[in-house]
Amino acid sequence: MDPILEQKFINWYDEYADAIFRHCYFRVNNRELAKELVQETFIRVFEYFKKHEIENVKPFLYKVATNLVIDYFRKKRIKEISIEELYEKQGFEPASSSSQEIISSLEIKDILQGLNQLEDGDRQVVMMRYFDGLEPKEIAEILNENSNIISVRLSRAIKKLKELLLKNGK
Amino acid sequence: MENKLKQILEKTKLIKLDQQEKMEIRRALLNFIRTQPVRAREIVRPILQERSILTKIILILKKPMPAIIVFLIVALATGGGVSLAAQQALPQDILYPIKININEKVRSALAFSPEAKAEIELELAEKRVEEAEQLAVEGKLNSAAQAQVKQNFDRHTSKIKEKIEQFGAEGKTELALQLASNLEASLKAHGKILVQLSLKGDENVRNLAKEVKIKSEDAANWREKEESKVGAEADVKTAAEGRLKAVLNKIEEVGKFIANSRVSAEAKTEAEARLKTARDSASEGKTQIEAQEYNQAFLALAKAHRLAQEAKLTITAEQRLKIHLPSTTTTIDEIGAETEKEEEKTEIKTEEETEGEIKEGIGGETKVRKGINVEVEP
Repeated sequence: MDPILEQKFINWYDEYADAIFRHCYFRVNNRELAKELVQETFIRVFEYFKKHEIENVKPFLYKVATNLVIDYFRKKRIKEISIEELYEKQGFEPASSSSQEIISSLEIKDILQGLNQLEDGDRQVVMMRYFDGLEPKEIAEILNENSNIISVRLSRAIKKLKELLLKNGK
Repeated sequence: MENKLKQILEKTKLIKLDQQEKMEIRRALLNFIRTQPVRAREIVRPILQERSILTKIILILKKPMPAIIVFLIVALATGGGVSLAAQQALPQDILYPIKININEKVRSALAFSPEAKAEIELELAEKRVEEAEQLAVEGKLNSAAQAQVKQNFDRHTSKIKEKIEQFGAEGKTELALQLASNLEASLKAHGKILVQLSLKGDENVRNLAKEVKIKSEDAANWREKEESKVGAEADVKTAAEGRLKAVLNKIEEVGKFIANSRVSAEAKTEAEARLKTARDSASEGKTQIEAQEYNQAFLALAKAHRLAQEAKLTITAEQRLKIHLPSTTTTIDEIGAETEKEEEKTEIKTEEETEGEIKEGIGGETKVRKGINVEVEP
């Protein structure tokens, strides 16, 4: 392997490993599994990178990770675990002492509950925007959509979420 | 509403891989990359060349490293073919200097964090030993090659030592400990391979085996030094549990590696047997943590780590060197003693050997030998 390309790939890992881990972790809620998915994501990306140039690696990594998570749930033949269910059952397996406090606030719990009532597509964009911190343009690239469509879907989803929270609050 | 969501975003950022996990996956990826055949990307190279030249120029402007400039010249003049070919070069090959002076320095210069740089040094130290092993198998490790390997190997290990000290001084004890422990595990495991190879009686291989053994002992000393700091930092329990987790991860990783490898059934069985002893050692460490015997726990965990590394090397040695290495308890000192017998040199007996007992760690388990008598024919 050309040392420059090898280093370029490893720099991607150094930069994005935590973000991809977080992405997988919030969807499978299992630290070990999330780590495996991170490794697999980078291996898949490397396999591609061996043969082709990658213009914009960040959305590419998320795309691969998203597909791997979907594959995982498909193989296991289970429906994607609902976020609320995860919280109720295990209170989010703590990744570190600080992550426990993340979920502890009631406000956030409410939001998670509301998120869970959204349609899959809406929930996906909200999570990508506010859990992964991706820009609408990046989400659009990951989901092969037009970025206008994503922006619209996002604001619609947030509106729905707000309504749900108001309703739940009553 | 959006503010609340933004708060979530701020908080979720706290969820990440811990340092050890991140390094482990990194190593696994690098191992994976290294086992890949040289890529078939040449077809697209002409198109890419323009963009990559631009990137390379930007890099030069940012970091005026001579190695990078030389690399560029070489890469431009040859379309990258030479530096790629040099990757496979062994000591005494014409392209070997390009490999170690250009390719590898470029890698190191392009690594961002001190952690990443330390990892690279560790890999390069391992690579030097692997090259020597390759030469030894081919019967080509002459004294010039051995000297070259030793010189470069020393360079990498002293850089690793610097990094360990640097991390230690910066209070990154965990990281320092991990680095020292990885180096120790790797060198002990490689030492064992070299001992196997030196059974053929090649003196250069034997000298190198001794050299690697000395360095592995140095690494053990560095590790112990860092471990003693852990004690001072009061949070021994957390540190010990961290080690346990790292070792269990390592064992799991090696387990998968063995399962997925394509080697002879013999090598697989043997690697699995070694991994089992690593598991035993790890559970011993766990018991000791529970009993709050942290020093003992660290020792058991270091051993578990080393055994796991050996298990992995059993496989990679067969893949890389195309030879099978049966398990051995022979140590480098024993080989030394036998040769002395053959050569009838009494004066070479080291002071260590004339002492009552020698503690020997290279054979995987620590064993104590009582007074060695080297028989000498009159």
